Amino acid sequence: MAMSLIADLERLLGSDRVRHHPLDLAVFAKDAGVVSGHVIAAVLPDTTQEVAAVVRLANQYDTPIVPRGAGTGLAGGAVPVRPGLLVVLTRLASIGEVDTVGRSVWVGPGVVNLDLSRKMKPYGLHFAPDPSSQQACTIGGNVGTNAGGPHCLADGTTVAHIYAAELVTPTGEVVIVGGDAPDTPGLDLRAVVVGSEGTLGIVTRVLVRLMQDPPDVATLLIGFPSVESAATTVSDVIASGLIPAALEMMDKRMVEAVENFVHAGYPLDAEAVLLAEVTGTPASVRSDTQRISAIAQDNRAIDVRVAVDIDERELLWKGRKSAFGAVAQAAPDYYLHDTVVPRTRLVEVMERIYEIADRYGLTMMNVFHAGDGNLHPLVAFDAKEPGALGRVQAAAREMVLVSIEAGGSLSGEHGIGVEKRDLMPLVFSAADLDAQARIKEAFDPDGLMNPDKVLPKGSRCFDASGGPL
Amino acid sequence: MFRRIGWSAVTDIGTSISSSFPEIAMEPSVTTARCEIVVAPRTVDEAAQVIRHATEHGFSILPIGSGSTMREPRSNIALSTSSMAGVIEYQPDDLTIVVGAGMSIGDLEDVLADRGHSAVLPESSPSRTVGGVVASGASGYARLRYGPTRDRVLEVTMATGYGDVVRAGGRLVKNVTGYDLSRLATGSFGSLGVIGSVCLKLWPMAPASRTVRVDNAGSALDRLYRPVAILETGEGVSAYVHGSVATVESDVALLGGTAVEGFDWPCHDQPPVYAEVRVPARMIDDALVRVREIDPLWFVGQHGVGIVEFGLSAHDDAVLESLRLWAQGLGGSVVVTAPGLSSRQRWGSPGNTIELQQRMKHLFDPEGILNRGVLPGGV
Repeated sequence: MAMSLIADLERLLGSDRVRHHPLDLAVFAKDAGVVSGHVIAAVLPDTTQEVAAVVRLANQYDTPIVPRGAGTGLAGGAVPVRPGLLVVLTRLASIGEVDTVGRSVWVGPGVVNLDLSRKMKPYGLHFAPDPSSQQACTIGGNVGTNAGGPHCLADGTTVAHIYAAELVTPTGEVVIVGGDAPDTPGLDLRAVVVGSEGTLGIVTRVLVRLMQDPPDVATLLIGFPSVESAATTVSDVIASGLIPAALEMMDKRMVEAVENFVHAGYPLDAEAVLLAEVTGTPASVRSDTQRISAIAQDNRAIDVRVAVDIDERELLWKGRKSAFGAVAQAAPDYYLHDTVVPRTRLVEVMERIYEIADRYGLTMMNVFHAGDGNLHPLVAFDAKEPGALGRVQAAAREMVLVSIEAGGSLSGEHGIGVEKRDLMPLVFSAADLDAQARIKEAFDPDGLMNPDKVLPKGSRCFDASGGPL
Repeated sequence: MFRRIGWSAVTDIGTSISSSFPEIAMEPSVTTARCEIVVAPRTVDEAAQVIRHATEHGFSILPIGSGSTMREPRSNIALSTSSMAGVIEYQPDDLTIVVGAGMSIGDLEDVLADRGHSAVLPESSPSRTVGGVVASGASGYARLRYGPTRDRVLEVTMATGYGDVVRAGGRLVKNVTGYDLSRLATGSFGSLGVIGSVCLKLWPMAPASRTVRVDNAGSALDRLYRPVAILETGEGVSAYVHGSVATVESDVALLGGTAVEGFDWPCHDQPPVYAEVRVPARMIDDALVRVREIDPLWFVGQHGVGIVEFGLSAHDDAVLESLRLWAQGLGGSVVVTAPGLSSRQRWGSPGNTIELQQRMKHLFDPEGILNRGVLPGGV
């Protein structure tokens, strides 16, 4: 069956855009996370019509389809769990004409996040979501995971930045969800397609919202004598009614790793640092900078540095965005969490997470979106060391439970994929999961579009009304 | 499938509901003439019980908040959220609040004003309920700066059309855990379920605000950094700005117009026919020209957003259809609210997602008892 599917795909796309060499299949069997899967073939379509034709062909062969962007996801969302066809969307990378009045542009899912903002620079516009992987990750992947990033604190995650999406449905039809005009009549299918991790169809074009570049920016780097005083500062800044453009936190271990890696001038004597950015008119940037400095000083900040120019600002951000690369110095492998907690509970949850890491004897570093309570404890380890992975996973589960007990959730921006799928019942009841499974069923009645993701098996079985199972 | 509406049915339905749910408040329908009885469950669980009872007996249900938007379709039972109207959890330091769906947005904003917060809901209709605003997906004028209401809906509890109670989303400002049913419920007009409570993301309100009369909307939009709104009415164009005192003063100086303190939002009477033309934001000037030609009672155009709302004294199919044809040609729509309109007259023709919409409706309301026909295409 597989060979005849491949032959049909080659007839459709030509052999150079259908990859099934064992080396290709090994590369495409993983994303940036820990899960690996089984790829029958990876195809690289150039157009929406080709994507639709591939989907219809896969349907004929009853073969699961998994869409993939750059493969930077961490939760296994782009990894075929059952043997499946991988639809790689990196070649759909066109950027349309910029609407400078409506501030939007149609782009292909294969456009790289940072490239989009760079190309919008001459118009004084940018795309707000800015994941740490923005040099590699694609807009399609951002749509799939409803990606975040430091600057989503004030501007919201990807769903707030997608006006419309062209979608190839799981049965191979092409529809547009959302629209160029506001409030498309009918159910807002756009809002569930964004963040659905490629399980409701394949997004082949999106109309993205562009934001004005701010007239003025200030970036502050603040050192603290303890994690607690930094976390309290975060809570106090939000509670004071100030929403900075970004509010990021790093602990001492992470600062050391980053300093060794990029030499950004982070304070090595601090137990924790905050990276805060305020944007707006020069007057508001001045007053917000003063307010944040004052709140930090009330919380015993030992060092407040305001970047004086664009070079210094970019260096400070380079430190933040290189964090995951820097970790490689500490250990060959890492496990990264993505839980979210209410911002008022940051201090206590951080304390408990440190306690868990200590108890398991793990090397943990923290670099995270403190302003919206999105934690990224990162455990560095060596998978070759006997028992190491087991300890990491046991600690991970405890950290997740601590976050959920505090009113938190499993993922703030990375998605559920396969990795956190079976933890979903910790957050949702059987009835909640059944309702979510109905959304999936409405789009994908045959269950061939990126199956076995997001919802645990059996989610759709719960039905209090006694309707069809 | 539905019972015929008539006096005998009133007695039947009233008896049926009151004998099964003696604790739930109920009254003959006065305000919603198209229903026979108003039932006001106190919790979302009770709402689900009423839905299950209605399913069993073949009664149809119209979920209502204040009744400002939803007067149709003709249904047996109006399921009112008026007994679910309190603050459930306010976390001022986290900038989130959970409220019962029946709370009015005026009462909500009063609670929030004490802490200098706002949920940024429609400014001009304080009697509308939070549940009603979320269910109808309505946004206020400040959406240019703060985005539509749906961007602030973090969590919803809902009694579904199949009689389950479900919670979707979470009380967190950032969350990608599972399919976001709360975003789907927003703007669903009660077609999938009855919303019992909503968690909203809040914004701190700036210390100073000004309304500035300007000559040119496009130039104000270009020159200002994130204005709250730029509105055009029959009286002219106003830019709404806020921030620190220094910021608003510099904005006013930049615009050079006359400024008044605070936000002077347009206000107008509830017209017999209310309509919105929605087009890509770059087409707003053309939309304004066309709306002016209709000679409406009043109009408000939202620059940078692409919506012109207007009031008419009577429904005129030919005029509205011609406007609609133009808007749909641009990928937009015209939405008309007036008594007795068909789905086609209200929304225009359904888009190419109609089959998906029908399947979604069927999975959440298999018996079709909730607000059938309220969405485009009669979904």
